[in-house]
Parts: sequence; structure tokens; C-alpha cells
Amino acid sequence: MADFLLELLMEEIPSRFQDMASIHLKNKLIKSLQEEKLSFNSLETYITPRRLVAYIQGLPEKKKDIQERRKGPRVDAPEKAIKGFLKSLNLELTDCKQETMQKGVFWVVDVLQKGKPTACILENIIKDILETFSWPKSMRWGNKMGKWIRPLRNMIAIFDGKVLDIEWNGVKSSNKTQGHRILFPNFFKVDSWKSYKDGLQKRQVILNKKDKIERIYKGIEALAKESNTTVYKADRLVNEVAGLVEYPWFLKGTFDKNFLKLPVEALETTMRVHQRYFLLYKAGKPSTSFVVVTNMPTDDKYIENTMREGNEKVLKARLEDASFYWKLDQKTALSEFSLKLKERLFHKELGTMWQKKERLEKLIVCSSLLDYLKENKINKEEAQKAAELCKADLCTGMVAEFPELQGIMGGYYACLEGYSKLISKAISEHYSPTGTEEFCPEKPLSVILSLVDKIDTLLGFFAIELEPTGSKDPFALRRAALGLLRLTLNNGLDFNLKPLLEKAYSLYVDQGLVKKGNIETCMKKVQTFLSERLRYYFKDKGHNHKVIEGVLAKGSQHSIVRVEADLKAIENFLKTEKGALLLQNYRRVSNILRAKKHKVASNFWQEDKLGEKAEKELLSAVKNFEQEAKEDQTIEQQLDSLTFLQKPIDQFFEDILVNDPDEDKKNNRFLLLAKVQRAFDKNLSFSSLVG
Amino acid sequence: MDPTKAFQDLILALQIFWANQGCAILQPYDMEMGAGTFHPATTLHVLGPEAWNVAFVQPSRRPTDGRYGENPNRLQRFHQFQVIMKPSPDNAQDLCLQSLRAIGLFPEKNDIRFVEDDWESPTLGAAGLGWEVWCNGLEVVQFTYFQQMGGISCNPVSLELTYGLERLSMLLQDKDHFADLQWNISQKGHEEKALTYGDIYLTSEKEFSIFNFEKSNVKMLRKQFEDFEKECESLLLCKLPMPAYEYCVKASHLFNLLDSRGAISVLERAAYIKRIRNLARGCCESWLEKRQESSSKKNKKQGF
Repeated sequence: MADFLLELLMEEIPSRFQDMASIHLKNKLIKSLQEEKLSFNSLETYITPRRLVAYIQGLPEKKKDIQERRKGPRVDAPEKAIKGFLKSLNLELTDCKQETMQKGVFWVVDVLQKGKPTACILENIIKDILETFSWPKSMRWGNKMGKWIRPLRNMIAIFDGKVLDIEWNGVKSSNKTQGHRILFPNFFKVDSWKSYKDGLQKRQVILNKKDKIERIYKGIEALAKESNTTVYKADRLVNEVAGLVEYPWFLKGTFDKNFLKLPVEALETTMRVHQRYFLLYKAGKPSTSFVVVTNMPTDDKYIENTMREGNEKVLKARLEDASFYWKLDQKTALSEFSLKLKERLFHKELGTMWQKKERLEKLIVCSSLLDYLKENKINKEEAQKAAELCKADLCTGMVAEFPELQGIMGGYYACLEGYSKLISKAISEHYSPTGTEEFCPEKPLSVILSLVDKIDTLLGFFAIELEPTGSKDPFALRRAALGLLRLTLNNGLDFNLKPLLEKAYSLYVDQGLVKKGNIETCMKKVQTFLSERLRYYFKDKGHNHKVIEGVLAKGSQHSIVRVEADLKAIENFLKTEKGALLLQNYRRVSNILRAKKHKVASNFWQEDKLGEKAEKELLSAVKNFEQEAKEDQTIEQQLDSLTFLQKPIDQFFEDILVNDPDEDKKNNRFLLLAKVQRAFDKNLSFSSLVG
Repeated sequence: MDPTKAFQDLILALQIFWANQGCAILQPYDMEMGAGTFHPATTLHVLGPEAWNVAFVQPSRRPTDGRYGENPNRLQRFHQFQVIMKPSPDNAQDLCLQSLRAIGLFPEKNDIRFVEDDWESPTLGAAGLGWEVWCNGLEVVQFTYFQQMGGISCNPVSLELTYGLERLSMLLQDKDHFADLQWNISQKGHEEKALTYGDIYLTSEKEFSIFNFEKSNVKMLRKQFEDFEKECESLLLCKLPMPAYEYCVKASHLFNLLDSRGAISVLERAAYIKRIRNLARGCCESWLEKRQESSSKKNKKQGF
């Protein structure tokens, strides 16, 4: 048994790609080893800002030898053939044996296939991985043609204590590497996993990212504690920062309390996005302190001071910029900013943002939303105002400087101008939700403003046939669709979306941007797209894929909310004993119908041919079901009435042989079963459950 | 010479450092341009296979960044120090750190970080991968491996280092306003001759901010843009990529002036940028074509 250590040392890997790179390397190694049929005891990969590392334990020194019997020509074959056979294996006739087989006596020989040394195989695997590794972005450097995330500078590849012979893009494998770039620039020698790990530790590099993350949490908390403060929702930033330092040290800086007048989101964005600082909170409100995670020790007072002052100065300049725009923007009314939307393109075929704004104003009070507005006590004027102002902040200085604050700044400015809280909140929240986990609006006006914005975007791009293809989705339509679904489901918007989608389309037509005649095609495509996204959404939530297909196949004549309710009801029903039995029944019925060879025309149907008791009972149960089934039944009621079919079906299969020699009887039994199947499929599409 | 005490010494120190690395120290291009990347020593010379190692200061114009000299960090005309090395050397990051040492920024005493920043210039059709080099949270150098220029794939790849000199000097001299930077150190017996950055450029910042934001002649600028675009195109037809490129640079600066005057709507913006990119692409293609022709002629003469 032997171990393998691989370290790829390169120039700084962008933090956001590090986790995936580590996983990708692991998967690629496992796959390659499996293909080579090489066993191992454990395989781990690690990532730091400059190195991608793999350590494999318990590999064999070489692949097993394989005994193989080769069959040659018949003993009485021409000499030429026998010679050829021997030559191909580089053997003498004396090495061979004779063996009697069905077609005569043959020369055979047992050949030993020597297993290749693992070292050779690993060399090939690593070369292949370097050549085919898929980075989300990659580059060339110098005169080299190979592509990597950033220039690869050094490689350790040691198997069983020996350096492997690998060369890629001008980098040759060795047994040397570097520690912390500044603190320990000299290369050091490595001969084992232990000496590698210890060597890095001594030279201020933490190999295990989890350890580093833990250290970062502790370090920040310790500094926060000193001033009775806390950090909020820092997980993402901690992960990012862990990808920026080989070893974390900490320092606390402060800023002028005047900057606390800025919106907290502006403070957060400046600190988190631009500077990667952790803002500290006191009693739920931002304090004037922040923590910087550095890649250099902070124990020397002079150096710590230099670093603190440097960081404080940069932050001050950034916050001054933000304050400048924050004050400047307040001198102009949102309605005035809004006029500049005329100069801002939504998309070159879909007009300006001003035109989008005009559509939203109409869409939010269109007839299919009036009930919703009424139920939630939103007056029309308020809804229209929110739509009118929601895009205005795109023209403010603040959003130009901090694009991620779109909507949020509009909310602040609306509030300062004295618009109602409802309107301000709606403007602020109308870009949400932006993903599966992100915040989803709950306030009715926010919900509906966000919904119409997303519908407008979807219909527009589908109308000009710029829908997503494959992995390409430049206008983030999948995200818009997901947003639409989450808004609808989380808030129980139990109405049919179709009229709303149609209205959105017609608003583009009114502006002369898209052709009226294409509405049918477009609607179909949008609905298919939404149904696909819904499938994806349900799968993501862990629902049973067969039931998902069932409810989606039925289509959503009503609303997406109903589809979800149906889905949950069926899932719960199938978990009960009754449900399982019923599904079994259905399976039997559909199996028999599928197996029958000829088609039975429905005009063969003669009720009086069904003379047996079990037949009659089943027929009357089906008729009962059909009479009871009504449009407005809930899914639970429908499932419940289906359970009355269970016993008659059981009885039917127990007593009756469908394939009766009498053609009439047989055909009518088929037709009866077909009726049963239709009953099942009428509202619930059982067929997909057994498919 | 002390780069931590005078702006001109910072420039001198960088020039000496890069000269010692074998770079030819060029002079600024004598035209208004938005960044050192527009200098033909960058735009054109990063194309083609020949080795090319140069460094130079480029005064850079960003009319929209003017603040009448009042904002401590923003200027409409500032200085970039640019290094181009083709092919990019294997010790590029080390060289960058050494150059910081040469100007008195010691990586051992500061927190130097390479933070992902992929660079793109839509007007030049250029793109590269690299980092912002941070010193205690402040971006001091832009570090880029050029992958594409004028829409043409770069092979070999060049290294571009761009130092923001004012910002760097403020850090080194520990000054809060660019105007307070010492331009040169007072020499013994010549104390009264020392100047600050403000002595030299504050008035021009004020005047140009007024010009850029309030007084430039939009009608004339627009007309010139059209004229220069045509001129560039016709020079390309004459296979004169270098003069053509000058007109492309002029057009680009006119666009920036119009932009700072608020004369370009967001709608027009993309179209203007595309027009400049087309010019830049034409110049790059033509320049490369000519280089290839002349090198094959040279080879023939030499009997290859």
C-alpha cells in the first residue's frame, strides 16, 4: 500500500471558485481511479488561495497481475498460422499446451498480464486532469497554450515516497513547495503527507478550509466581544474571506459616527462587497466598528497600526463618496429621476425603462388583479404609484455607484419624500426574491409589484424569442420565473395567471413593440417554460417526481397554488395504506389494458353482457364515482371517492377472468376496465404514477 | 531620491526598478487618452509574437471623474505608471512585490493581497484576467494578463501592471488630499523651489472640471467625433494603422467629453462604444497584418 500527494501551487485563485475546484478535483480523481480499477482507502482534496491539494491513502503499488488463457489455432492448422500466433505473444511452442474442444484440439497458452505500476497510471491521470479540468473561467499566460484559472507555478506529485514524472505547461513535478508567500518565501522539501502538512502549518498556511473558517469566526467574535458588539449573517463573507487568506489575523477599525446616517444597506455594501469588512452591530444597530481579516500577523503594534490606519482611510473615502450621492440624490424627486428612464434601455427591441414603467402601471391594476387588490385593501392609486416610482432609483447617483442597492434606495427616497410605508416597502422589495433561498416579499403590495415586474420581463423576452437556451440565460429569465413561482406559492395567490400573462403581452402590443398575432405561440411557450420551472422547483423541494409529473400532466387550469396543493395531497394519500392499495389496483388495470392485443371499439359496449356479480358491482361503483365527481371537488374529496373503487376492483380480479373465450364478454370486460382507468385519470393522472 | 516623500521620486523609482528588469522606459503618448492601456505601446504592441518589455507614465483623462479639485481622491487628469511585459514572465507576482519594495511599500509591514478583478475595456475590445493588488484595503496596482486586444486573441500573453500614482503617492506620503502631495523635495539651498501637486495642477483641475461639465461645445464635439471616425476609417483603407489609431484615440476621448457633459443618453452610450470598438478592432487587425507582412519580407531578405 502507498500514498499519493498532489499539490498544485498557482497564483491566487479567485475565492468564489475555490470550493467548486476542490470538489471537482475530488470527483475527477475518483472517476479516473475507478476507470483504472485502482482501489484506495481514502481520498481528500483541499484548497487554499494558492493551492489545490489531493491526498490519497492506500493505493496499491501496482495493478494486479492477470492470468489470461489465450486460444491459438488448431493443432493441425497450417504452420504459418501457428507461427503467427506464437510471434504475436513472443512465445515458443513449448510454452503451449494442447486442449480438446468441441471443434477439435487447439493450442492454448496461459499468459501473465503484468499489472502496470500505479505511478505510471497516476502520471497519466494527473496530466489528463490538468488538461481537462473545467474552471468557470480560465486563461493562458506567457508562451504557454494550456489553460488554467491563473498561472500554475509549481507542482508536488509524490507517490510512495518518490517524485512522479509529470510536466504540464512548463511546470515539472517536484517535492518542493512554498509556505505563506510573504512570511516564508523560501521553498521547502516534502517527503510525506505528514512533512507536507507540518511544513505548511509551520509556515503559516492552514490547509483545511473548515479549520480556517472556524478560526475566522472565533477571531471576529473575540474582537466583537471586546466592545459588546456582534456580527450578523456573516457566513458568506466568512467563506469568501477564508478564500483570501492563507492564515487569518484580525484587527478592529472604526469610522466616523456621521456615516451612520447612511442607509444600513449602503454601509453593509461598502464594507462587505467592496472591502470585505465585517460591520459590528450593537443592540441590532450598526456600530462604528468593523473587523478586517488580514493575511499578515497583527501582533507587532507598529504593523498593526499601519494596517488599521490604511484600512480606515480607504473606508472613509468610500463612505464619503456614498454620503455625497446620498445627499445629492435627495435634492431631486423620484418622479423627476423617473423622467430619465426615457433614456434608459430595457432591451433594444423592448423599448425603454420608461415604457416598462408605463406597462407596470397598467398591469398592476388590470382586471385580473382587481380582486386581489380589493381583498388586500390596496387602493388602485397606491398600486399605480408604486409601479410608477419603482424604477426611478436606477437614475440616482447612489444606484449608479452601488448597483446592488437598486430598489432599496428607491424605497428610502420614497419614504423621505413622504410616500406611504406600503409604497416605499413595495419599491424596496420589488426585485425580490432573487433566488431559491433569498427573502420573498409578503406584504401584498410588494408581492404584486414584484409579480407584475417579473411577468412583464418574461413575456417581453419570450415575445421576441430571446428565451433561455441550454445553459445560456442572459436575461435571467429562469430567475424571474422562479421569483414568480415563489411569490405565488409562498403567498397563496390562488388565481389563474393566464389572463395576467395575456394582459402583459397585450401591453407590449399596445406600445407597438411586439406583434399581436404571435400571442398564442408566445403564451404556449411561456406556459411550458413556467411548467418546466415548476417541475424543477418541486424537485428541488424534494417532492416525488412521479407525483410531480402527475400533477403537471394534468395542467394548471386553475392556479399554481392548486397544483402544489394537489401535489401534497396526492403524496400524503399515497403514503396511507388505502392509497398504496389503490395504486396497486390501478397498476393491475392498466397492465391488463396495455397487454391486450386488439383495440376494442366503444360501440361494443353492452352493459347487459356483464352478468357476474363482481362485474356488476364494479360497474355500479364506477357509475357512482362518475356521478359524484364534480368540478369543484377538492383533491382530497376526489381521492376519497376513488377509494370506494378499491374493493370492487379487488373482487373483480378475484372472481373474473378477463380473457374469456366469449369475445363479447371479453370485450366488455376490457371496456369496463377502461372506464375504471378513465375514472382514475380524470382528475389525477394516475398513469404517470405507474409510468 | 525618496519615493515616500515626493511624487516625482515615486516615478523615478519605478522607472529605475523596471529599467533594471530590462524594460525600455518610454515617454507618455502625446495625446489625451483615458488610460495607459490606450498608449499604442500597449494596445498595438501586445499583439503579435515579438517580445516587448516597456514601462512608461501616461497622464490619463477621465473627464467624468473631475470634482473641481475638491474631492481628495478624484481627478479628471491623473497619472498612471504602466508596465508591459510580453511574454508575461513566470515571476510576474514577485516582480510586482519587489517593485512595491522599491518604492518603500514593504510587503512584510503591510497587508498585500491579490483580489480577483477581471479587466475589460469595451471600447478597445480588450479583456484580461488578474487581480487588484491591495495594500491594507487600498487598490494600488491593477495586475492583468491580457487575453484579448481589439477582439484578437493575444499570443503570447502580455502582463500589464498599472500603478495609480496619485493614490499610491498619497499612501506613501501619508496625505489626505492629492493637492497636498509634495511633487519634489526641497533641495538644500533651493528650498523655495519645491512644489506641491496642488501648485502645479489644482487650477487646471478646476478649469477642466468647468470645461468638462459645463462649457465644452457639444455640437462641435459631436461633429468632431463623426469627422474623426471617418478619418480613422479612411486611414485604415490606406493601410496606415498607426495614424488611424490616433484618430480612434481622439474619438474615444471625445466620447468621454460628451459623456461628462451629460450629452450622451444611456441609450446612445452602447452605440458610441461599439463605434469606437470597431475602429480599435480595425486598427489592431491592420497593424498585425502589416507586422506580419514586414516580418516575412525581412525573413526573405535574410534568406529564410
